[in-house]
Amino acid sequence: MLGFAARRLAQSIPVLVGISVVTWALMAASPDDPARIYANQQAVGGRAEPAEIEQARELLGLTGSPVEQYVRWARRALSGDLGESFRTGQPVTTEIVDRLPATLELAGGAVLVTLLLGLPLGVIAAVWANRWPDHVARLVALIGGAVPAFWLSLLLIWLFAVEWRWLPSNGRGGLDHLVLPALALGAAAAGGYVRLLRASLLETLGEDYVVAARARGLRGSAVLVRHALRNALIPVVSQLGVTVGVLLSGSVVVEVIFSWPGIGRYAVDSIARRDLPALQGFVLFSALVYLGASLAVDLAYRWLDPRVGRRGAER
Amino acid sequence: MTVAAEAIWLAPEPGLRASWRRFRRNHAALAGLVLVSVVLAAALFGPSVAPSDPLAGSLDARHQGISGDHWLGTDALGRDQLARILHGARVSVLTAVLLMSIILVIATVVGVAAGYAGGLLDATLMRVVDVVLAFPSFILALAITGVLGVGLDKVLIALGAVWWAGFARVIRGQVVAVRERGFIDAAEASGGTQLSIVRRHVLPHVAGVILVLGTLDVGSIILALAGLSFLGFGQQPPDPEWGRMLFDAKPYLQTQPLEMIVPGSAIAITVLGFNLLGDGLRDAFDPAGSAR
Repeated sequence: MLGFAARRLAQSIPVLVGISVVTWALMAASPDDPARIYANQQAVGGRAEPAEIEQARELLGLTGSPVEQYVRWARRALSGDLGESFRTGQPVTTEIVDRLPATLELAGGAVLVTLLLGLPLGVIAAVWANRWPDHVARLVALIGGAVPAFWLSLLLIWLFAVEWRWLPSNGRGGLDHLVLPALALGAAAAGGYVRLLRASLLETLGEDYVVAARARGLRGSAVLVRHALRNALIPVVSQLGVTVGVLLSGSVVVEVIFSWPGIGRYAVDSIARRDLPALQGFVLFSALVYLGASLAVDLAYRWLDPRVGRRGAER
Repeated sequence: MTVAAEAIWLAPEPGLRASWRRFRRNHAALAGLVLVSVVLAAALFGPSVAPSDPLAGSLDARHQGISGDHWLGTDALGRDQLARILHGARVSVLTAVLLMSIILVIATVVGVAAGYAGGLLDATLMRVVDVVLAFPSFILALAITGVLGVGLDKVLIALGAVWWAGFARVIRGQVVAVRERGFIDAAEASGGTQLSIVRRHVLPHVAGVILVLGTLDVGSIILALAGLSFLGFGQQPPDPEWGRMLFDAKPYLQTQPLEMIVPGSAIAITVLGFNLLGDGLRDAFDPAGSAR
């Protein structure tokens, strides 16, 4: 297991290098000269002198060959220095860390929504396979996958905040502020769990040990929970990595709509203001979280289902 | 890219006829086909039968509800919503489908080249794919748009630059699997040129997978395109686009919910149609996988 973890970590090193190159290129390969963007933003009246632009180029580390620039950037990035925001002059790392709790809170709420919707519907669909509860569950999953998070957000605001005035629709605060954005963000990911759990539960329900447990006279619900569901949930773990990507992506629009002060809204503000270091910070952070999640999922999967390793060895 | 999609293995032998029979019996798939046909027809022919100019508004006609003159009401500038939905479908649906076709061509070239040639080319291309897939797709597309600047063309480039990678990986896997079955070696031994072998023996075996993957993922392209436009980075005013229409409707949510219900429903119905159709095609081509 430890050897597998080490190997898996080593495999992700080239990917990490690739991620850093892409992130670096977002500024270095920008069609508009970043030094000019920065100098113009700093200049009184918004138009910088050529000398000021050259000064900015120096300051942003955009001098020398691309390889030199990348190495300089990567060395600083490794020590946690992603440069300063064009807008505020504050370190990008600090700005992202400051906004992280808000995004984590939203993501946590959304994961809860996803699992609370997806898992029960998946179980219902499998237990009553091809009967009406199954059809309803799958229809919900289908519609959930087709409704964009940004439209669901607007619908939720309209119904729960405007028409019925039950919940606030703006900003971060108590638990009541979390409900609507978490619903909007979490609902989209639930469909995948319904499909996956239905398929995997149908498979385990047909396995010999489940049939044997039934034959021994165990009650249906006991068989379901203790024998079938436990094993059926293992493949579901693999879906968690996908979910992290869905949540990272969805949080951008959802945070903008609900004025949620997290890193997604930070990214959109950065684009609107051409704040390239801030955008780089957001992209790098998202990729690292995504990569970390897929690593964690691989390790958890292997730990939960030892058969995976043997299957992998055969390849 | 779903795990299920990667696991597709297509046997071309049972033939298209068997697939079509399975597809025809699948009500959900047929519903998807109908929805997609209606949406595509609306996008193709809608603008020429649209009741009025999607750009012409009048201040007297602002924020109107459903009426005989305006079947789906009007927006904040008094422009007819039905006309804007029909014209917007060109961008939101036709452009998305076109973009998907281009993405599939790129992915096929990369996937076939990597899988067929193997060796260093394969290793290099697949490392590039690994890196692109290391980012959540929407976020990388958002970032590229952010660097390129706003505009529909920029958004399309950004989406294309990101979305090919997942398909290329799956197609490469299929090509490698075809290779392992030996008949390509046989074709090479009997002196076929590489291009003709790819055309006669490789492409027919991966065509079904490409079609299924493409259809399954058109929905996510439509959602990403509308999402970026909703954020204000895609289609610029005054031209209609569904995501942009939602963005424009947002300030009037409290008093004019119809203005966001119309474009939102259009997006959801279209994506639902493509997802149903994609599921149906997958099941038709790959009965073993769908039985699970």
